Amino acid sequence: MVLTGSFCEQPPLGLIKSIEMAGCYVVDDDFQLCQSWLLDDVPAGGNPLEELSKAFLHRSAQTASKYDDRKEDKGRHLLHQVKTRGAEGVIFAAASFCDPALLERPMLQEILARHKIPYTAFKFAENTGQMAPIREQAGTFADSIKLWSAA
Amino acid sequence: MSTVTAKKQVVKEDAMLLQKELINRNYHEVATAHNEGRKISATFVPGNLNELLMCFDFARRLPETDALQNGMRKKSGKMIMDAERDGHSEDVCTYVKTDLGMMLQGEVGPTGEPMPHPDILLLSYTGCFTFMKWFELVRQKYDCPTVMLHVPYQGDGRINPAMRRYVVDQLKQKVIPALESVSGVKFDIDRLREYMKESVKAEEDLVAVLQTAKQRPSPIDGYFGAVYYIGPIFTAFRGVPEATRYYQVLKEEVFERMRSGKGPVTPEGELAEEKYRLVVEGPPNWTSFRDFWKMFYDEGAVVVASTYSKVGGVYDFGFRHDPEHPLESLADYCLGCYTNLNFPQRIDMICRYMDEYQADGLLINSIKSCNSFSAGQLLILREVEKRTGKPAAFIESDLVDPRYFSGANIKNRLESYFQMIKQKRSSSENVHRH
Repeated sequence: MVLTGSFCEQPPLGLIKSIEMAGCYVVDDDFQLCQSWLLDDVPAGGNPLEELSKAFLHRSAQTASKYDDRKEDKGRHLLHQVKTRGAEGVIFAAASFCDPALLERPMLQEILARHKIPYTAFKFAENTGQMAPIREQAGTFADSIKLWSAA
Repeated sequence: MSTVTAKKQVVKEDAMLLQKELINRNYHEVATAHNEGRKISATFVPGNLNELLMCFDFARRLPETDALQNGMRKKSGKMIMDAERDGHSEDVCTYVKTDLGMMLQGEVGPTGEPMPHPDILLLSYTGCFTFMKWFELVRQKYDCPTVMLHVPYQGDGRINPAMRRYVVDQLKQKVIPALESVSGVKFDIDRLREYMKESVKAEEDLVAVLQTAKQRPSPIDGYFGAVYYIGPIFTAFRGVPEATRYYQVLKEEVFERMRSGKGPVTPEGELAEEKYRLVVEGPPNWTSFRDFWKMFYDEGAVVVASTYSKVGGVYDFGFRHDPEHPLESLADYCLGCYTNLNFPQRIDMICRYMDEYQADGLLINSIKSCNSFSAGQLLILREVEKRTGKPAAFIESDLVDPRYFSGANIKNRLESYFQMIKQKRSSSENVHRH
């Protein structure tokens, strides 16, 4: 699975473990987005501030935390993550009241549906302690993928 | 005797009726625009570049106004639920969901006329992140061109020349060419100057009206009444002669009340006695707007100033559109929007209102789904209390989601707040007496 939507707040460790225990192995995510946002090295030769600005503006991943100037770019990075990691589905896990992730979600879901990539979604809070519903949802999601693949 | 209970007559000022007429007329213009060969723009209230859009003959849609109008007409609840069924989270801005729900329900506007697709989305970004995602969502549905005007946040609490230049450059290099290309109309800066001359007149009169609340008793309610007063200038009418006339009528009406020592007009008539003077921070609830207002006027509480009545432009500290420097002035307008101010600026503004309008306290109406207003409001509350020594209170509701308006809880909270003000006032009188 690719786990997405958690860029602004790392989910509790128990939540990530619960997802994996339910049969969804997380092969990519957007935790600590700042570590992976830039898609290539920032050239060291030029004006550092200018090069950094250009890198963030033009060579950074499309995520919910930024504006996509072109409609065609929406979801490109997520699709790339799914393809290159061999993921079989996407789990949207956004922090409650995280406007960027929650507003982005329906647009990404539409794109995933178009590409026939299964997905599921839930929200979490930093003090989420009850993992049973999440484990159940992730487990059902994993089962449904197995069923679809077998069909 | 008839079994049908007669509907209570709602009292409205002449200016309120005129405002309604203007807003309805705009909906009709939007509904018929495509048939008449006109293009339609959509943009947001804070940082709306109405004068610029008029230079290209656009009929002008404002999605937040559509949502609040649907809220006041009790239509938003179903729209929000439809949007949630379509995959939108219950946590996000309910204006967005009302807008998207309206599309899902067949694109009929609040007045019952068709709401055609916009031909361009002018994404003027003034401190509310949701705006960006809102128009991305609309673009995904309508596939219409979007032009973004990025307005830098006033992080340092001031507008510096580089910020102004940055916005002006975008206007020249991106926004104006995009508007020209979609509308097919060539930009004429003199036309922009002419609209701005009208804007200034309306802005002067609006400020004069809002500042009458410094009088005792206040002849207006600076929140519940003011949301009617700001309607034309914050939407599709800033810069048109009808808006100038509207503000002249309003000013005459309010000044007359002020001269006669009258209080504000409420839906149940004139307020007889002003007991509490409040400053309010945050937008109102629209779905139970009258019930909410009644909780104030029943107790003799008048809002003398509010931050929400500045959401589409902060004019009371001196800013006016400047026809001599039209693009720079559009930049300053956007940069100076309330949602683009940092917290120290917002706190200073509220403290200034508390002082200049002789308020008894601050009330914060925190909107569940509006992060651009709600984030940091508790910090604002504590700081204003510390600086002014006046009591502050905090209530919670929502913009247009009727599920989040709990009348009984809000009423209880308000009543105990008014008691607290009374108590504080009498203990302070006792101190002065001894």
